[in-house]
Amino acid sequence: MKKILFIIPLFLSLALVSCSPTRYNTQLFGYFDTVVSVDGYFESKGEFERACELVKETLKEYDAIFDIYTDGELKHLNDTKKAEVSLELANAIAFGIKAEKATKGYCNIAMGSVLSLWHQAREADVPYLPDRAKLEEAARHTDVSGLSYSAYNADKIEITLTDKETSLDMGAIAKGIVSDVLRERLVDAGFDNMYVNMGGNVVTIGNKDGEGWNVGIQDPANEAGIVEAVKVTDSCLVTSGSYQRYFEYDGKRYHHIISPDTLYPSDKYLSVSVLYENGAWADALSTALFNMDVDEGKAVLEQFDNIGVMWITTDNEYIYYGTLE
Amino acid sequence: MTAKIKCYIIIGKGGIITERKLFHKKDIVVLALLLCLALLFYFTATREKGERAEIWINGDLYKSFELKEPFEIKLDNGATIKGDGESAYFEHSDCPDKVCVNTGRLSVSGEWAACLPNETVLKISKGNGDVDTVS
Repeated sequence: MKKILFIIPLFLSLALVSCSPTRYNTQLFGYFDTVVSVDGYFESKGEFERACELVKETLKEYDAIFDIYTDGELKHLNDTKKAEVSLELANAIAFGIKAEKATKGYCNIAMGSVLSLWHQAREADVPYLPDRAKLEEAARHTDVSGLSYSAYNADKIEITLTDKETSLDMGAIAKGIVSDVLRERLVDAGFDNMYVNMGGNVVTIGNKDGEGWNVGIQDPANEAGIVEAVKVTDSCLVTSGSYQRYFEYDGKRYHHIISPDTLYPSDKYLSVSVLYENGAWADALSTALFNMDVDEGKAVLEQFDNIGVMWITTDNEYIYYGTLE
Repeated sequence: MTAKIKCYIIIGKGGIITERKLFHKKDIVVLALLLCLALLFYFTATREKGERAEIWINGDLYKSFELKEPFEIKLDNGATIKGDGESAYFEHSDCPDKVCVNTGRLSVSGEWAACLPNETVLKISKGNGDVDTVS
């Protein structure tokens, strides 16, 4: 009898252990040209796999919408200048127009013609610098007001690029938009304590162990290091960094965030991180702020509540704003 | 071998008093086993070699370095922190007591040295400041 009394609590504690969620994580490759990490607490391996499937499906779906290089829906619109688009793409473009206005043009989805010149230069077998005159010509066709919408029927929307030289590039907001969709779908599916990291775009659900997910801000000078650790609960932390994507020409680095002012890689910062509940805005703002002086940026940020920003300047100075202060 | 301690327990509303020895032989065996487990856990969990040296100033993480790469950093507050590829340490400090310098070399996860006058802490961590992910 005594033995049984001793064994009961043992089984009870074992049962408790097996009921509490377990941490699982994995990396997904082949989406949005980056590595995607899925990490969190799940009731079982099966539940974790269900979450991963949901993430994969969503990434695949949105990759096929935003892709402008192979055969995406957006590429089709760029090629034909007039196309019927999905509600998802129409919503994303509508957000892009809103973001362009809110950021005074410093995050502009209509910069496709300029960005593609840099993309070609970066991806070439022997990287080169794009021709200055060509860049300036392309920059004449980056006005978002050259977009026209026509909605007919409830779910059929046609978009026309009235300027035939204009093309759209959603690179600055695509991952942010997807992170919001991912969060909505994962929460609806019952997952309550996890995060997804799409190459620096981190979206968290729940608060890990009560304190929030511990997200580091990458040290621009040291790939393995961080400069700051931030607790993130049901929110997004997005970093735009000059170290993320670049090429070298004549011993100098040229990164992927192109300033609408200079049409060259913006040289004010090494990175800009934004902590905000909405992933699309966090993504748009991290790009916009990268192209703006700190004061201009702070003026833009006044439109937002509960937002945090960290700038790392080219001189390695750290500047903090809002909830990251 | 049975411990000679007696313990009285009052059970139930009726206040029936039963008598029981506090430690049975079995209890001692269980306690010894638990102690062994705890010691084992202590040595495997805390003697782990750290991967990163973190420098915290005024309670904020200022910078962190990989422990296996040699580094040297001169802080504005007059302290110099060095890593030799194996361990990290305060090489120099302007503070009067030099407790931080005298703490010596750190290499095990969890070890730390503090320079209180400058509010600077050097801490060894498992890696990446124990963050879950990096943005």
